[in-house]
Amino acid sequence: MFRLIWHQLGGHAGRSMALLAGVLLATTSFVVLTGSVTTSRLQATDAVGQSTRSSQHILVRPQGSRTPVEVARKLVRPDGLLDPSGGITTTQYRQIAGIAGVDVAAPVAMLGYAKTTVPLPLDLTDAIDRSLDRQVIRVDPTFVTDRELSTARGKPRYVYVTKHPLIHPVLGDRWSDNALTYSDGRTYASECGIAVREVLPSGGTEPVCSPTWSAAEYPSVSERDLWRIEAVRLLPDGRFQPADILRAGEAPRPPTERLMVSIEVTAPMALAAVDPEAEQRLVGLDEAVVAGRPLRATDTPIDEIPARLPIRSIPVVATGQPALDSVVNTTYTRLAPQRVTGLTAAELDRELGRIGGVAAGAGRLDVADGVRATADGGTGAGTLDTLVPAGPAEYRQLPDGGLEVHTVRRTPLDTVRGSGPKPWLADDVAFHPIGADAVAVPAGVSTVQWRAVGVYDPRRLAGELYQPPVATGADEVSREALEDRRLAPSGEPGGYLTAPPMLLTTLAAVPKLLLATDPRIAAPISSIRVRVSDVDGYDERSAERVRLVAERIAATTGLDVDVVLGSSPAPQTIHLPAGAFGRPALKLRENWTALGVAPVITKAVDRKSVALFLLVLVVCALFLGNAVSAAVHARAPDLAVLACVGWPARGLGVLIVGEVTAIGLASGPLALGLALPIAAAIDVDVGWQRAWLAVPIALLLAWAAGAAPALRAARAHPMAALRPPALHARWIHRRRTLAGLAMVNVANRPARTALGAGALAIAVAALIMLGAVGYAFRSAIVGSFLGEAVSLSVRTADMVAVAGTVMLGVAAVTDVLYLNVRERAGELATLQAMGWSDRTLARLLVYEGAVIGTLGGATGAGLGFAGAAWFVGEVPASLVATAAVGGAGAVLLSGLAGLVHARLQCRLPTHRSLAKE
Amino acid sequence: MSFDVRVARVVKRFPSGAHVLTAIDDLSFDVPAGAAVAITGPSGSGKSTLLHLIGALEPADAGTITVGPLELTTLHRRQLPDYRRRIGFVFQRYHLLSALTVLDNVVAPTLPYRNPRDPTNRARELLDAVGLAGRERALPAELSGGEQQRVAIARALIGDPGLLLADEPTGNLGAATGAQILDLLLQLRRERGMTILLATHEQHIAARCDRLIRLGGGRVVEDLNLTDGEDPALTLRRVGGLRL
Repeated sequence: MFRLIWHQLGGHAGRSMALLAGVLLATTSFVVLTGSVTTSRLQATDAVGQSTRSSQHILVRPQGSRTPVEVARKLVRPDGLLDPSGGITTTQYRQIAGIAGVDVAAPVAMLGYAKTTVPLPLDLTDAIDRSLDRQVIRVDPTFVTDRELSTARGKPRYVYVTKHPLIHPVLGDRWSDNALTYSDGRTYASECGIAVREVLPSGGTEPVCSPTWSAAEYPSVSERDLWRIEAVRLLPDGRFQPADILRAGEAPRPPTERLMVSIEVTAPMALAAVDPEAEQRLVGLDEAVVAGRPLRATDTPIDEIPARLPIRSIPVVATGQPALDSVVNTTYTRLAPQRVTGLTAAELDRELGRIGGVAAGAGRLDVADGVRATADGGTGAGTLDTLVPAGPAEYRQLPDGGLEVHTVRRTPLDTVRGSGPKPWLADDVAFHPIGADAVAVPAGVSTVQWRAVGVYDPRRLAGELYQPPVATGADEVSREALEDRRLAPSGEPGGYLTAPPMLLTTLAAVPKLLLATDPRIAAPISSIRVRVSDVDGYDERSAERVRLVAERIAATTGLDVDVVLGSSPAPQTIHLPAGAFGRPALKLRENWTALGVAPVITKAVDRKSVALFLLVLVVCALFLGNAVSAAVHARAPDLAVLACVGWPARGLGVLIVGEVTAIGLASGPLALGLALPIAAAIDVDVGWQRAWLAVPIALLLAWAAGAAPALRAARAHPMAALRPPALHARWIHRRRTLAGLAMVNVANRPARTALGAGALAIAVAALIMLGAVGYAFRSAIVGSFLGEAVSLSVRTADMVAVAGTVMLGVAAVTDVLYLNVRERAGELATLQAMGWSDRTLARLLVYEGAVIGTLGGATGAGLGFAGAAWFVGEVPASLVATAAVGGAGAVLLSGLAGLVHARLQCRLPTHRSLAKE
Repeated sequence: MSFDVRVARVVKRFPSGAHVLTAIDDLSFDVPAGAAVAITGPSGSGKSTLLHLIGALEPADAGTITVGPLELTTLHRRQLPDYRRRIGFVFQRYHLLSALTVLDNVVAPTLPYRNPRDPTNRARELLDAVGLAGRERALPAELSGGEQQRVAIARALIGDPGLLLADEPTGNLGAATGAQILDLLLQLRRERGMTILLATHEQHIAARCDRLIRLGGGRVVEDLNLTDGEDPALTLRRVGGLRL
């Protein structure tokens, strides 16, 4: 029997090689493709694990603090950690910290926005004409934010530069506008409040009058409308001597080489209270301090009582990277007015506004630089006479899934706060409701201020608390308006985007900072970020561990608890109404936090992996089955002869199994030898166990595939296998045409047709199923950055699986084509001998190919489409397109195969083919 | 040991498009063991079909066929291979296995079975008997038509059959080669005592058999005994007068 098998294989070398190639291809493909599926899964799991390696796993917020949108979409809004209304008590915080499994619980209490005045320095040296005896530099400011979409012109500021001496008031403990003592030792009655005076050539003096506002009206004046005039003397040596109003005992500033003045703007600075030790353990706050010292839990407000101005200082660490988009653009104009001194502020305003001048330069002042300068490397201080709390924005869900932000009606009380002027953006459209003022100013204290003990770099801190919100244009118009940049917080408490805290103080400072009547005294904490012990990135064990801890927290405290392990930034489309200062309505893509993304992705990855694995398995099995069936089918007459001479079915089975086994055993090591370098080349991990398992599985499949035709050959009466086909496709009309003949040929050889069409159906169905698997996967993970990251990470491996599977289908067609050429050589040679031209023969074979292609394509498209619809659960248009393309491709491919078949046939010597027949 | 053959009221039909073609129509005859019978008739008369039915290569639609002790229509499909190995069948188109050598082709029928003796020696003897000694290693494609038919005959005889069915064994051969093949078959019959049913439309082949059954339209139209002591030349003339 072995000898017979050996002779059969050797005697039909071409057929044997085709079968060997088929088994080799199927086994290699199986190893590589399943390897690519496994690699894809590992990459996806790794991507999920890495992306979810967060410092915090659970977010605890006050009960009922979730907004309707958050609840409906399982999201956490970008400012979800910073609800200024508090709601969590320190007792609850301690309970959470003590729960088993909690590694760190880090609270944050958002207290509100401090309205700090920030000086922005201007260098006007180059704007000066040193030849002039007197001149005024007009500084025209334009307040800019929202990536230059919101702009507002402010009233000009003036700098009066004179070569004449200037004298300035020296204020004692008490003073009167009627009798101010000046630096020349004389007393002058003021015409316009506390003003610098110029010494005229006549020896007399005249004041340089700036406008004045009462303490009561000053907070209601917009910083846009503030103006003043500063006086500077240009000394004979070319230096500049500023004329300051000094207190008794204070020394005047020395002359400077440069003419430096400043514009003061208000910078709302968000103040939050944290537990420094917990913050250090959670995000390493101490390590992020780049100047000064870290905040300590023992840092509490200090009442400094100097001689005249008692001040309460709140210790803070200030950000070194304020997330502020706020700029003041300035232009300089040199004026040569007839008169400056001796005019009232109103007269001066009219005079300077009336005359023209010479353009003398421009500047751009970044408010963030002013904030940094105010912190002064961890030693600076700023006003804290008000804390403006801003509540969460509200949204209306639009039919297209977008969220339209509600605007909030402002009241004067919302904007007129503290002692400084009204920020220019207080007149803009607001989206966050402003709460009641909250700063406690104790008796005997004139001012409350924040005082920096250090400066931290938020870029060194992980976690959403410290990161600026991310919002980009969601449509072409908005992207164009934003010039493809991110929209950034303006700093205005009512503005849409909320900046991360710029000042951090201790929870211990809160009772001394807030009014005793403030409900937040009892429950100041806005949110608590919890890290669970022994959890590093998302996996099933970690997820379960975190879930249990979250349940314990909820049960113990009754607070709203969200598991953020496995969450991901998820862009939401925000419809932002137009602002009052020119910003058009924008459609934004803002990153919110989607909860439970990792489990969904992990499930989708697993589902996709299983589906792809099965698909690869089925395609490889079908391909192998097709190849073996085709090979054994080609041997049907031989088998029938053996059956005729008395071979039992068992004997024929042994023969086929023996042949297939020999081929399988030869191809197994070859397949492994081929698969390993291919897998290495395309960076696919091939498991050895699976690789070795592929050989016996391939053998089993080959046996199964060979059994059917072998049994057919060993049927009770084998003569049918030796007799030419007796089917007559009478239903086919016009049989005397080439197309009719092609139809007859296809119809009268059902087995051969089935093999060819089957191969095509495999390819087309596989293509559609691959599309369906990909579609289902993308649909499941779409909408979050993690999903996009995972999708990107697995793209290569998935492409390998898709390309490999489709190529396998094409190879199946090629295999059947090759066997067809061998089988039909004699028949086609007869036609050639009858005088058929190569062209006519080619047309016949192309027609046959097209018919088989139509059958296979339609069958494959139908099967693939049905399978895809079942798998996806819907019928997306892309799958319909894939099915159509796949079906058309099958017809094209088989037509092309017919052409190749014809060319191969034409190369064979006719007499040899006839001799075989 | 030779088999007698009894064909009783056998019918065989084939579908032919929308019609049914009756190849064998209520056919009956008996052949005693050891006889050499020529089955003749024009093309389409049912000669090959009759041999296929007796060889159990196709099932009859009606009637009974008994070969020796076996009634074919009652055999289970699993018994059919054993029956086939106990008879010999020579095809008109030889149907040799092209990948096998001459020797392997002859041995092929014995391979699935356990053989007390090495069938190779027996195959060599048969090849010697059919005049192909020395061509054991040749492939079928390297043989002439007559030689291939001799291999097919040797293959048919490897199992020492009690019945040899030969379908136009000389149909593709020249007259001289055909005569040699027939000589060989008759000689083997003499030596082994087997029954021969031989389908042919050649007069000189049919004339050398014991009996001639002429078929027409699937029925027996003439049944002649050719062994009544008649001169072979006369027999040839008599048979030649018939329309084979």
